[in-house]
Amino acid sequence: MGNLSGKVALVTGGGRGIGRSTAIALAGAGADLAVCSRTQAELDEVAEQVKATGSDCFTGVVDVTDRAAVERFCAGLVDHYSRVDILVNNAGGGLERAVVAEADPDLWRRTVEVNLFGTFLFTRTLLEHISDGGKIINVSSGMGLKAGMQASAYNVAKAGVHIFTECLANELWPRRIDINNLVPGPVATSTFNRDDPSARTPTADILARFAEAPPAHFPEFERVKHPDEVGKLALWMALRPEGGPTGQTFSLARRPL
Amino acid sequence: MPLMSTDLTGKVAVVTGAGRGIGRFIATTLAAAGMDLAVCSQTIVELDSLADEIRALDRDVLARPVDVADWEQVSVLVGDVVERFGQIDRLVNNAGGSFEPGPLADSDPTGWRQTVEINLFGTYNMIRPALPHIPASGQIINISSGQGLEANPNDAAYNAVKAAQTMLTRCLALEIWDRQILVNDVNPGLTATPGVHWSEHADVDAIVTEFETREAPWGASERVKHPREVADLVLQVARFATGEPTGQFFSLAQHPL
Repeated sequence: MGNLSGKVALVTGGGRGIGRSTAIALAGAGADLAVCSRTQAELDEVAEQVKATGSDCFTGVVDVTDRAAVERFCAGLVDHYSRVDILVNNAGGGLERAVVAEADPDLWRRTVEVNLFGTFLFTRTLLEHISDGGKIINVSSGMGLKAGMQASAYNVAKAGVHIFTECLANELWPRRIDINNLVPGPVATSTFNRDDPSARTPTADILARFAEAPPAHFPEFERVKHPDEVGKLALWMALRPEGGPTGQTFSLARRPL
Repeated sequence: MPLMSTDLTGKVAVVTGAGRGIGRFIATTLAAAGMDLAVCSQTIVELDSLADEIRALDRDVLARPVDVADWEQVSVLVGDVVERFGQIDRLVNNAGGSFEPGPLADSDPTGWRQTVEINLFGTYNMIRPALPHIPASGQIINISSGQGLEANPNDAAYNAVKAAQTMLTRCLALEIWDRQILVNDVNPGLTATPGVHWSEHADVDAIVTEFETREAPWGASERVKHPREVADLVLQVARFATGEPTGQFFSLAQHPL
């Protein structure tokens, strides 16, 4: 699809799901990778797959809400590669699934921290090291554009990501850095499947579970996608020539948002 | 994974407003991708040279002077297209324009209505008779505008009608998903086309060159794009397969909308 050789890409939350697919897609186009997640074993697997494409892979165990850990990881990354050309803020998730009346304030806050503050924190920390003409891709959600039920923290946090992307686009165009939202729509990930972290369901099993219809809170015409499809869109966005779209939203959803 | 990889060889595209500007590049880009073309515009001279260009690409072409705001003319066109090609795989509603710029207080109702007729009814007029002839895996691509998402002074007819057109896209996506037909918007953003009021040049390349050294009229973050760039995005969207995005807005704008 094109060439990212000589480019350095960071994918947060890159240990599994959409993040892993994105990391491998970018590596497949020639980019050297940095990947962080909370789980060392998953990072090791991704690093192996990235290196199998011939690309370098810098990894670190990071909780994106932990400012010291993020800064330490970014310092190591800059030390290793000296710059970042493509930042994919992918780490995220919905941790509080109760109605507001019953929501746990700690989980609500943590959902905002992972999705919104984590995106801010990586961007803030790395901005001076992102190449002029680089790309930032924020993995957002259709839920940030349309309210649902029992996921208010996630709705609100992703809405925050959307407007953060737009704010940043207004600030970064003089450096020719394009920053856009990516809306995956429903994707067969462990987060989507609401897995217990101790027993994650394989992608194929999740796809099989929803092969006939998506979960009830989605309209029947949504399709649960393989994470690799999102990786391909992320790659396409990363491959836009300098001076490409910025402040926009690229979506794989099948429902108007 | 199939994203943006559908083979278009031998499939049939209809492009409205194809005589010049963005529509012309969409037509030739789709022809270069292997599609047979039906093209229309209001000016026969431009269509003749376009038809020659398409034939030079070894593709079949049907060219008709048509005012898309005229239901009768469009009905005849669609009948001719179906007779000649059997079906319509990609319908690109590109014909449009702003015919009553300026303050609403001074506007001529005739120009205001004409803007609505061409952009909205032109789109509807094409879709309505074409629908029975669009097969599963077919697509409708409407060329929209960022002005349909953000208010501006002094072009209310265009802003209003483009907002309406985008809503049409989204409504239709919800109605025909079960026929496996995708309906999406492509937003060109600021693009050099003959006749734009913000350049004295009539030639696309001259307009692009002019603004390489001048600030673009819609804000410093915007770059005046060549219509070829819009055609490339239309081609990418045209390559979506069944089950991929529908009801979405794919945009080349360079500021948040």
